[in-house]
Amino acid sequence: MQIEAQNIVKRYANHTALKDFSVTLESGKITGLLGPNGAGKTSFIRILNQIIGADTGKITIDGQQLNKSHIADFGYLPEERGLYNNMKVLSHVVYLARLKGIDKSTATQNAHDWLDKLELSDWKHAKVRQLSKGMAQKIQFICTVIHDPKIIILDEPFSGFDPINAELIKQEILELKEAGKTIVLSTHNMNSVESICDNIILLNSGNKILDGSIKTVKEAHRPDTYHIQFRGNVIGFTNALWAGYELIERKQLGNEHFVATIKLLNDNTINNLLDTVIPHVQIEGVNEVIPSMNDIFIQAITEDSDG
Amino acid sequence: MGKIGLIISREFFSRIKKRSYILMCLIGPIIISLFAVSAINITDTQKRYKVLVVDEQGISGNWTPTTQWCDFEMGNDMTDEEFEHSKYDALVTINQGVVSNNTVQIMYKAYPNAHARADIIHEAELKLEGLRLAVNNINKESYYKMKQRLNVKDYVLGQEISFFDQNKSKVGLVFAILIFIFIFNFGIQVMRGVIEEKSNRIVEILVSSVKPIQLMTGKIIGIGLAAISQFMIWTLLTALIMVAVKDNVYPDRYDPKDQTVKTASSINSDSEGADDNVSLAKEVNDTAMMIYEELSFSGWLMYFGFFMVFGYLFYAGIYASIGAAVDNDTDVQQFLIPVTLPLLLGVLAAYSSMTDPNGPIAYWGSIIPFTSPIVMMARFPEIAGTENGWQIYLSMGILVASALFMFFFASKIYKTGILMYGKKASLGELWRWVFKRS
Repeated sequence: MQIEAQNIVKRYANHTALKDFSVTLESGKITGLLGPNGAGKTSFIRILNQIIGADTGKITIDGQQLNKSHIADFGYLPEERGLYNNMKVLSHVVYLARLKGIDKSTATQNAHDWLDKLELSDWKHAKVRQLSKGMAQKIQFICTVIHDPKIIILDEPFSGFDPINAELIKQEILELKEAGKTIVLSTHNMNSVESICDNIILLNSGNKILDGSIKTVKEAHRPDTYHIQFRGNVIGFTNALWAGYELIERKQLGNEHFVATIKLLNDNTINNLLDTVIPHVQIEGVNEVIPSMNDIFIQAITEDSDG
Repeated sequence: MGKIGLIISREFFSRIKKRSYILMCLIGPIIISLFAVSAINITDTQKRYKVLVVDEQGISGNWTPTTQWCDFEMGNDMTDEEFEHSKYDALVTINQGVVSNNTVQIMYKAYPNAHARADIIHEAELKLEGLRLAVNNINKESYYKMKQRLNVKDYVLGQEISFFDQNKSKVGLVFAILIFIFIFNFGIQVMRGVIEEKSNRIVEILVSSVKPIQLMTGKIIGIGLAAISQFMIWTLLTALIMVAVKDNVYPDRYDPKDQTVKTASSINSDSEGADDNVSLAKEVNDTAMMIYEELSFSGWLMYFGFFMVFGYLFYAGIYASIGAAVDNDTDVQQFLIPVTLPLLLGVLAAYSSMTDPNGPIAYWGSIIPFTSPIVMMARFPEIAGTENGWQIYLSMGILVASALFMFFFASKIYKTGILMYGKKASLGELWRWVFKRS
């Protein structure tokens, strides 16, 4: 299902959480919803889930205005999540599934399937309070997807998981993506964004400041900076860079053996750089510095806040 | 089952399966039965009554000087003031037409204990019995077939009292206290349920599936059903205990029917046998008679059910709002005290209404919905069937309207409050939540 949010504005008593926010979320894709605390992510997620309403703007699902009939199409895993501690695992999962509108027998069957899949079958008659934190997190994930929603919104889905279970959940999310679900992943964990997201939306103070595929965003944020590993006279190397380049950093690896980080200036290319330094030193390796999502996040937020 | 049905079901079953709930279901009836039995026994005071019998025409003849609870003296009539300063505790006046009007007037210095009163009435009945047999020239067998209970007019220092109604008010007070306990206990459960869902954030998942008002409605009804179930279990078990007490602890003491039968059966027996029956008759205890014979429990339960249900609905909305407005248990106190205070005032007003059922405290306490479920429960036995009976229906109507209004009011606060984390709401914010346009 494709979600189109157009010109969404959400105001609270003392601030505006979303300012004319528009975005498209595609089916079969995982979209990372990023931003610092207070950026407006939770407000947007709540609006999508119809927990709160937007003041202005429009959201459509496959062209149809978002309404209460879409409730069963959504699966939502909030960031700070809880369960009823006194309920038994199976009853709890079935209860939340039925609240989403599926019948008891389907809910029970799906619950058994998911508990098997996430290796929790032995705990289905245990009370929630008897579960470890990781197990409870898995139950919460099951509650999110048990009714086979077409749109899945995951807020920090990996928090609280050990690396093994985090990988297990990651694989489940990727399977759901392959099944054509529209997945929104809100997180501060940039590694998980890089590893599973197809697209990102970056919010700051209610404004969208970045939107696009990971590849496009990274391309747009290339810093034109390279690591050059070389042997030879470092003074000659440095003097050669006096115009058109900026030596950001230099490290000595051994006797006359260095690695330097150089930023290209004035429309110079990597070939120009190599032409400049090859006469002075012996080049051993060249790598472009690719920005991480973390770098892009910090850079974009800083620039937006300063600007 | 609809979504509200699912929520009701979860709230109901999650509560009735709790150990504390089951324990209360069992302990409650025992406590109530102990109260009832104590009430019966408390009336068994040991004080002997000095009774002056005024029978200026000598119609009833000489009274037995001493009975188990009373010492009788024959004498002349006296004014209320003289009586108040006399050595007597009671003054029995036998009027000239007693045979035809079957009425005896008894004046007490203070509210009488049931034994002494029963003794006086029994002695009067014995005297009248002899008198009627002689006047009508009939045998005892025929007499017992047509015998009617003596019509007794009780006064305390000139003020006519209704012996049973006073006791009924006490029962009303017990029911009023039960309503207080139910509203407070289950109202708090509503509040804690909301706080639990809010603090562990499951509410965020729930309201992505159901509307907040559905969630609140389901919770209030589910917990309310648990309360009603507990009350039904209490009623059933208390009834069983009281029947067991009646049949096994006081087998022949409190049943006027048994008493009549036995008295009648003694007609042809010798004098010793007759004395035994006299002592049985003396054991009549008005509290016990009231509990076992006089109260129309189906009527009481109907009123109790009404005031409990609507009192609970009125307060449950408030408690749900508090749960939604606070962020954790420690913030609760600030809101809880102003809500609990009216309930406690209700209990005090209910107590006061026993002595002054038509006074301003009783009237306003039974009309204002914050206290009316409690106060009217204690007051209605005094005013039902009187010219003030309409006040019961006024109170009921106002309570229903107020409960509906409070539900609407609470749903507004609940809807916003459950999604606000990290701080408790100020009064200004609560105002905005209620009156802002959605």
